[in-house]
Amino acid sequence: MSVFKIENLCYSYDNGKNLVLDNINYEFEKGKTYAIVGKSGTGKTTLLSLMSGLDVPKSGKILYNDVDISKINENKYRSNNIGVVFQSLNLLPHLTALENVELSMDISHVKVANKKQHALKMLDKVGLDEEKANRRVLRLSGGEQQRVAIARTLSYNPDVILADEPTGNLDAVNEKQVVQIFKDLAQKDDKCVIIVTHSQNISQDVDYVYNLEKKKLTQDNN
Amino acid sequence: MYIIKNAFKSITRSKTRNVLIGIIITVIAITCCIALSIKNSANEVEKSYLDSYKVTAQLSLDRGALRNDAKGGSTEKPADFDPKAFMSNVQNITPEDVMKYGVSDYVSSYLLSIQTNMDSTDLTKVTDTVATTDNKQIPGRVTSIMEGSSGDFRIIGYNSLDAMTQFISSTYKITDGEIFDIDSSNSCVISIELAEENSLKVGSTFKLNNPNNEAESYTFTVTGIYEDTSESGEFSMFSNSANQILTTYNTLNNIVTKSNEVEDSKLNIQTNATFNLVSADVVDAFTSELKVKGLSDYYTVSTNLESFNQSIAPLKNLSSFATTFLIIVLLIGGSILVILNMLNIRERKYEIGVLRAIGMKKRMVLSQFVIELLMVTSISIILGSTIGSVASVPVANYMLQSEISSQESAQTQVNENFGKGPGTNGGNQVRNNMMSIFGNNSNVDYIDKINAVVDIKIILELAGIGIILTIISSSISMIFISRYTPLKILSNRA
Repeated sequence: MSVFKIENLCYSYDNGKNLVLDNINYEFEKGKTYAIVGKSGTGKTTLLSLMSGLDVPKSGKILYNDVDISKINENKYRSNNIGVVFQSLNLLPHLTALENVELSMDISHVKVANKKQHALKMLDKVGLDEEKANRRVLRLSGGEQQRVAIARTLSYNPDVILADEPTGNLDAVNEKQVVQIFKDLAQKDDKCVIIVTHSQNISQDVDYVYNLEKKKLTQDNN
Repeated sequence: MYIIKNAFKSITRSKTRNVLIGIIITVIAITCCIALSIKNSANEVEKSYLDSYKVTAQLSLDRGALRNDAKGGSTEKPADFDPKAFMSNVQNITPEDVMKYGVSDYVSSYLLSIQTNMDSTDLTKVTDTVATTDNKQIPGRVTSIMEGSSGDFRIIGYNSLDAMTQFISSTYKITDGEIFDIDSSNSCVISIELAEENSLKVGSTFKLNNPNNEAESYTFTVTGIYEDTSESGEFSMFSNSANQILTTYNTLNNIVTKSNEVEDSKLNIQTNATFNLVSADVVDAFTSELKVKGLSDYYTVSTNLESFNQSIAPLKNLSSFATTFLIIVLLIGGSILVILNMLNIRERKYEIGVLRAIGMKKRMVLSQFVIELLMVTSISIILGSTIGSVASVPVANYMLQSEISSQESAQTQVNENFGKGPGTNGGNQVRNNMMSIFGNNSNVDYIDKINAVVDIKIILELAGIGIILTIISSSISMIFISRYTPLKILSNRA
């Protein structure tokens, strides 16, 4: 059953002069990993922004559990239903890794007995121990920051995880580890993981690869 | 709750920015605290001083209006102008008028005195060459203009001891015996000079005669002998206290009433009245009431509020300065805070974008920023009011002293312009008397101390200022946060 559905989605910049996405239709299921690939400037990040509710389509719909996301409160949608791992990570530098995760839980009103323990557990799940959890994020490596960003999305247990170039700044070892985290989330935690990427390695490890080219999204025969 | 926690973390981890904002707000709080305490204390002192101040009103002839009417509005007197006929149309104020005016909701009490001149076969009047108690010759002692040929002795009757202002101001002082009982008849006090001239003692009696009817005589008993301690009492072209006989109003009024029974023996009297008003606020209402009760338009109502205003002038100036200073500090401080907050928001644009992108509501983001500012403001105001409360009293009194010095130096300049020396008692006595008569008294009793303490009212006012400053400076955040979308902020950064 699809958790995420894109119907006749169109998007353009400059008041319709610059069409980026043209009549896109696709469905995404829980427990699967998806990669959206394409050259730079083809609209991958725009598509992710639309799916994450940060931007609105010019026409067409994006359905989450068969509900048009434009009908869902945008704050609730972003803080509870989907988790976004941004390309620039978007962590708060004055907070520690643990505090970043805790803040996200606070915003999402996550109800757990011990928030700190839960946050530490999420960080541990992505491979960050307590010592690193208590460091300010600026004192962590790029790979570690990437893991904090993933742990932040996991903290409130969303159905869908959207990741924009999650391994863009990582070395091969870290890239492999991060991809494995995403695969585990889909397979073990039944998440729908959608990754926007240039990386060939990720393309090889996911269940489905969609190619965004000439404003259209097509499935690769991977 | 997490917003407060997050705001606190943000403050503690961005120390430089918040310390800078804190210092500015502390300075604003200190100055506001001092200015408010000065303003409030000055207002309270003024109010309590006014409440305790005995506001008095007196009736005086408006000579300017008289002159103007006498000329019929032209600059020259009419050829057929008869001053006596004209003045006869101007009704004198009688004791009955005063009593009528005194029955008023605006008057707490009134002081009445009447005076007339009488002769005496028993007494010799004090002349200009008489010796004083230490046998010193007083040059230039003259008899009062009032005396003239209608009687050598001026007899004054008072309805209350309070009306005897010379005794209250210590100008006159009983040296032997005591003042008469106000309800007694034919008791009197006389000057030491008159007593010595006529070998009168306490308990002595003497007779006074109606100058218009020598057969009409009245016997007085001396209950006390007074000394005129003023220099003006020794020499004045307007008065000679030595030949004054002071008695009760009823005593003199009985004499006048009796003399009026026979047309030719009628005594001319001069009436003086001082009305003690219930408060300074009723002066205008009392004046209107007097006109309704028939007071001639040629009379004006004058009060002692000028003296009150002089006393509180430095205080009022200080209060006004404090208010102006408060407004300037708030305007400048508020502007600085707005600018700092604009810079703060620019610096934290990314943070706003992240918080919005991970689902924090706009109003929650805004609340966090307002709470941060409120926390810094609260701490700064507590600090500022503590410092301000310590500094307000000495600063207020220092500023008040400066203001008084400034007023005094202005007064000294006026005195010098009149040819008087810097000392109020120096210089020519005649000029001093003139200054006193024209109401230009250089001995102003300034309020020279205020207790500018910081009380709960000021703390609440400061808190109000803090909230207003927070709202004004947060308005920038409000506009920014409501106008920008997280995508715009984050894509701009990217």
